[in-house]
Amino acid sequence: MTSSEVVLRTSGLVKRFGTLTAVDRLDLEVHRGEVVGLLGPNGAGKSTTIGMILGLVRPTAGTASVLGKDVVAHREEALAALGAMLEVTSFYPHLTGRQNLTALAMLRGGGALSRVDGLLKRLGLGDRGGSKFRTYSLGMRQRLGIASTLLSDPAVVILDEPGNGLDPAGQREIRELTRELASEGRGVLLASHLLHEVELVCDRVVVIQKGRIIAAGTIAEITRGGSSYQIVVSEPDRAAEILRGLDGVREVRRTDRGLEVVADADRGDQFNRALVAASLYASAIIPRQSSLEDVFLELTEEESPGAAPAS
Amino acid sequence: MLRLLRSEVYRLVRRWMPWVLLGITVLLAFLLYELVWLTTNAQLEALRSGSAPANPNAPPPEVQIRSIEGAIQTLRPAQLTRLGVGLVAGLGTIVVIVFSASHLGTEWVWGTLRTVLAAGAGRAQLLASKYLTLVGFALVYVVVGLAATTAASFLVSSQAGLDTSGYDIGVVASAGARTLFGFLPYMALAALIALWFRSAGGGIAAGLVINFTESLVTQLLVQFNKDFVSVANFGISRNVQAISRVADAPPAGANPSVLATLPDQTQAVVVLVLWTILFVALGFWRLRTRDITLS
Repeated sequence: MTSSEVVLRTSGLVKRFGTLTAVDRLDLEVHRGEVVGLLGPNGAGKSTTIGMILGLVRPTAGTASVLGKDVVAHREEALAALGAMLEVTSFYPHLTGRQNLTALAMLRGGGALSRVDGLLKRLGLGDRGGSKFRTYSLGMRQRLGIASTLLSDPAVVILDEPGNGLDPAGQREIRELTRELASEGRGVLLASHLLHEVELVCDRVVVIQKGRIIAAGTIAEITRGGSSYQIVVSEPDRAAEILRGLDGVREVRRTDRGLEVVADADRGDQFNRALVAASLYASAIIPRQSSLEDVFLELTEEESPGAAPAS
Repeated sequence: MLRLLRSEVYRLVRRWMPWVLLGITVLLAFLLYELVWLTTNAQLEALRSGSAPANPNAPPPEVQIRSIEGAIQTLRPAQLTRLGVGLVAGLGTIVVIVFSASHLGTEWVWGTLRTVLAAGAGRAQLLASKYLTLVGFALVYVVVGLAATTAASFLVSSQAGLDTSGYDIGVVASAGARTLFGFLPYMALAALIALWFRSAGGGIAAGLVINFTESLVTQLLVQFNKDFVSVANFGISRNVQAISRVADAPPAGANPSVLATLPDQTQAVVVLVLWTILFVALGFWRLRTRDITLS
């Protein structure tokens, strides 16, 4: 479903607020039909990046473009092909959900006005479209925010924390909707703290910290480098010494049952050989594929982002 | 631009605030005319019957009676430029400051500025549509205000048995246009403050304080030292006063010596236009160069 056409691109995007560099030479691409997850701890620069793509924040350097149109030089054309739901969904409190979408559709022009009712239904707000926005729950606000992104039938959709405030069923609906948007040929950039959600939905992820990309790739590529092994062995202290000296081993910890080794994938046989060579016999070597959450935490907790497996 | 304007009007007519402000104006118009009539008539009755409390410092009763009779004459539709227009202008300055600051500031308070800009609206176009809707509201306010004071004037004049002839709609329209023109710098100032400080309340408070303070300071300057007249005449309030003045019909209660030192109307127009352009230009510059973040 993913095509080679790049619908959203940032090149060398930089934003400095005084002496603070919030985003540092960020290169990002979203292709038609794919969902790209933008991950990072609080303050990593995700919202600033999105702000620059939307023209809300002026880049210090670099460019962002939608369908090849620079968002600064050709703002109107670029944003016509882009729908964005911001982290804090803000609408006019005195207007109903339908009126809010109508007001935004008037701005958008084209056939946006004719999509209002359909989008309210699609996002499960059909029967609450006539209620004032101020009476909406957080989940309903999120749904209205997502509906607003689709008014212009955009080629690119940016969803910033769309699962906030939604119950598990609502989060599942949003995941399905996100995949649906990609299958319709749109490129989706999804910023989320819900790593499980990202793991289930995204084709690729980009992890940023302190404004820089510290890892990027498919979920499989990202998590491959972060496997761990549970090793049950006699003389665990001696075994730990041996394992620490092996290539691809990043950490060895003592556990109640033996050792936990954080290392590259497919290293089990290497561990076994090294232990046998030292006359140590493991009764079990259990590989465990790291989840995105494990890798994310490992990457972002490292003090030196440069040492992370950036790609 | 037209799409933005359409959306702006769509949202604006669905807010309570403009309707409440217009409603208060209509209510105050009738209240003022009724109050002026009831109080002046009661004073007149008391003076004529000799039941008015004696005040050794007051002028003789016949002088007071002539003065009150003159005041009652301002209730006539033919004298609308002296009382009714004064009400619309005086109240209007407060109304447009409140409305302008709210119209700009609430976009920050609600966070909707980000939503609208993210939906593709250009910053300059957005601000232009805001200013246009502000002028539109001020126009509606002046029309409604003058219609209400005209109706109140006819109603009270009928009650009081005053002559209702001589109402000149051309003169009233001209006074309305001057009033509207005098609102422009105040609207631009209040909008600028709200935009600069991202606060509707801040814009309202600062706009009102500047309005009252500038008016007071220039008045004091002119009263204490005539040499300061030329300085004061580059402010807003004295030029608004100059532009609002209708030939042969100074507003009720206006001090003739103050009126004599007001700038001529050409200067008033130029100065007010310059202030308005300055405030609007600063507004455009501020919005164009600012990052629209959550904080």
